[in-house]
Amino acid sequence: MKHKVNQYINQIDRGLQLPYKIRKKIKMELTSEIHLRMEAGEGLDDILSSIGSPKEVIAELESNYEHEYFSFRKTRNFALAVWSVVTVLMGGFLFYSLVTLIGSKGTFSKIIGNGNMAVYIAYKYSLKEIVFGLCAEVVLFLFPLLQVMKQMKFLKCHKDME
Amino acid sequence: MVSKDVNQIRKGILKILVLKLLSEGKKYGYELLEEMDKKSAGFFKVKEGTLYPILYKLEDGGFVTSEWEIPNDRAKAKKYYFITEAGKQELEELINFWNCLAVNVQEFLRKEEQ
Repeated sequence: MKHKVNQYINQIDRGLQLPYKIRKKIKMELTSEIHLRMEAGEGLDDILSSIGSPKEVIAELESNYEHEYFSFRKTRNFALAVWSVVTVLMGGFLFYSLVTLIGSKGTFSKIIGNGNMAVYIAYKYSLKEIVFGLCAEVVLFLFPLLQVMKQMKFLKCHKDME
Repeated sequence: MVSKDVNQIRKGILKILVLKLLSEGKKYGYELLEEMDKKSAGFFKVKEGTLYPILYKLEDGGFVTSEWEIPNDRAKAKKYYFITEAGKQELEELINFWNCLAVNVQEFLRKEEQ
């Protein structure tokens, strides 16, 4: 019984494209109402069907919070755009590092100055340095990538519910 | 299109009804739904998805306050809503406006029919 109530409430909570503050209030109030009505002797299925399916409740709430709904979506889309740009930049940086590393076989070399004054500098990275550097870049690439996936999953989940 | 307009008008009226019911005493969400349904003989049968946004907006506007009450008998907590002084004033203004609106719209429609 409790599981069914939680499932119903969580479905609404996950589907609502409204700020957390509003979602929290709705979640608490709906939970309280369902339990109160159950204590008064109403059947759970009757209560849930009188409130409406999660899809119906979400649609009704969002239509009554039109302004909040659109600004919430706008924020999510903006976050998706920003994280996408960061992901592409970090991906490019990681790719460049890998290509450079493979091309130079882990050696950094450069000629500074001209003619007789030229100095050749060469440095071979240790395995530890290469692993550490690559790990750091992979993390810096994966973090925004995960954010992009999170935002996309969120938007897709809501599109499916619509 | 018509249904959208009807919904807009309905929402405005519901605000008056909620304030009116709260002016009679503290009430929790479901109690408000039931009373609205009963007193209007089913005409104002609204769902939670419509009532809660009205209550939260009234609360944000300072017309209503709320408080969770936890009973001693292990029963579930109820969130009671109370009307504030600003809410009472708002209700009075809304009722005056509604009376004026109803009379004028009726009169206008009657003239149009003639």
